Amino acid sequence: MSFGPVEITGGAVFLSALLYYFDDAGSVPYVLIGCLLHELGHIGAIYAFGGRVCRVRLSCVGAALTLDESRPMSAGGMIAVALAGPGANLAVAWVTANLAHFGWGPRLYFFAGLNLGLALFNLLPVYWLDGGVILENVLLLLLGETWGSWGATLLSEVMVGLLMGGGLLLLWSSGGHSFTLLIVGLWMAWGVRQERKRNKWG
Amino acid sequence: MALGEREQRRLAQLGACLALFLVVLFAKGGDRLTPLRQGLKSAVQGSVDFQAAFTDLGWAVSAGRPVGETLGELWTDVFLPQEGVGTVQGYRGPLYRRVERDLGQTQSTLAVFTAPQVGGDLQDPMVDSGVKKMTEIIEPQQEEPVVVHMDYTGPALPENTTMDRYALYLPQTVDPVRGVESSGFGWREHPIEGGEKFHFGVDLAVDTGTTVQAFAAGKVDYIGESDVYGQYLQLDHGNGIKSFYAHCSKLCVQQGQPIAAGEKVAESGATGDVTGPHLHFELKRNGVRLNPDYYINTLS
Repeated sequence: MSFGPVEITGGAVFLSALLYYFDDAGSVPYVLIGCLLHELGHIGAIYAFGGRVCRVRLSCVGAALTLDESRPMSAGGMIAVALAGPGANLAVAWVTANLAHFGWGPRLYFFAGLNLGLALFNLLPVYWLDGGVILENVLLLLLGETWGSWGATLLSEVMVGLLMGGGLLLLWSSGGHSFTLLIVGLWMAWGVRQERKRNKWG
Repeated sequence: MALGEREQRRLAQLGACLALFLVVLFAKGGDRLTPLRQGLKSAVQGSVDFQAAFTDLGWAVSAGRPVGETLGELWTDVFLPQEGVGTVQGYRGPLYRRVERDLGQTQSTLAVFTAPQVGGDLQDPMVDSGVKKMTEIIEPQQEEPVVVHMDYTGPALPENTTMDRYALYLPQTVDPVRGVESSGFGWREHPIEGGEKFHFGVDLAVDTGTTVQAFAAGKVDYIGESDVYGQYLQLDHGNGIKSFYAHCSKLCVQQGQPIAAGEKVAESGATGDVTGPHLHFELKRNGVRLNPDYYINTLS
């Protein structure tokens, strides 16, 4: 369903329902605020570098911003925009960790840790994450369009493979108790298949 | 208005998702799906308490602990959790769930669980601090309860802290130093920054250079240095129990080193944010900070 430039997929609704269903601790609002700040970081940087967002798509793999192709951005601009999302989370983590330290409430510790986790997770060099966008544009600058794109795709696939392999190894070594990394790996693989498009940030 | 095949498929998908959303929305408050929900959650999440893991991470950033070291802990907490060991299983972790299942009850204050008797790690509870001993719900036969609920009447506690007295099940415990307790576990006026802050351990006033002994046998979890804690170290005693020592003048151990109870691990000092030489000592059980007063002797 669409609300102007914002599209919400069935997968996003399903994921929201799942998160709400399993969230005993009331963490989901904090996660949503962290994600919103992340996207606002991207959007702010896009406009700062002369780009424009023409569409926002919320799916089961997160939010994706589609850029206006009539206002193309340089590889350097793309790297800066990709860094802006995790940068916003890191800044929020630092501010809230310090506010929490000065007695502004224990929940802020959780929010600070969550934002730090969000920033680092998004910097993983996987195609549909910010780290993948950074990797691709760095390789484009270094190797040119053909080899850069090929290299980024290859490294992204290797990363997903490592995550899934590591997940299987952990599952085996833990005697079937540790599913978390495998789930992350499967989610990454799904995201790569679903979101392999240019000019998007999640 | 006729819908195309693609629109019909999309509409059906959206309808199914919305129906599922409504089902879980209304089912969450009921009891009928609770076992299924807990089973699914357990299968997906295992024994990981994500909220506790991220709270620990935020706290470590706030305390100025090295980020790389903290992330290593987060990795272990999230991806390598072990039953009964770790830092993030929280008060509703595997032990709690097992107790809850065994006793068929749902209140954590009733979560009393018996385990093999191992003596020597419980002292009299603290006095004059808003905490007094409450009823031990079950009197086990020659076995001590996992937890004695303390009737704490002070301000709300931060997350990952408790005033309850848990059995540690350590074969031997040793006072890290013998000193006067200059600051206890709980809310206090911060001596440097001012304002009401929670003190996650106890401060034991001792001269610089005093031998700091390991609280119990185990291994060195990590060592480090920060602006806040000065030179510090943490020991992992197994069973999810960890002890933390800060403001040291000298660290005498390396990460991963096996340690015997009472072995010298550091020398106390006045490094980091301090007003004078002392040892800051914390105890954690599955990531939840305990009141060390229950487990060590101090000079009066």
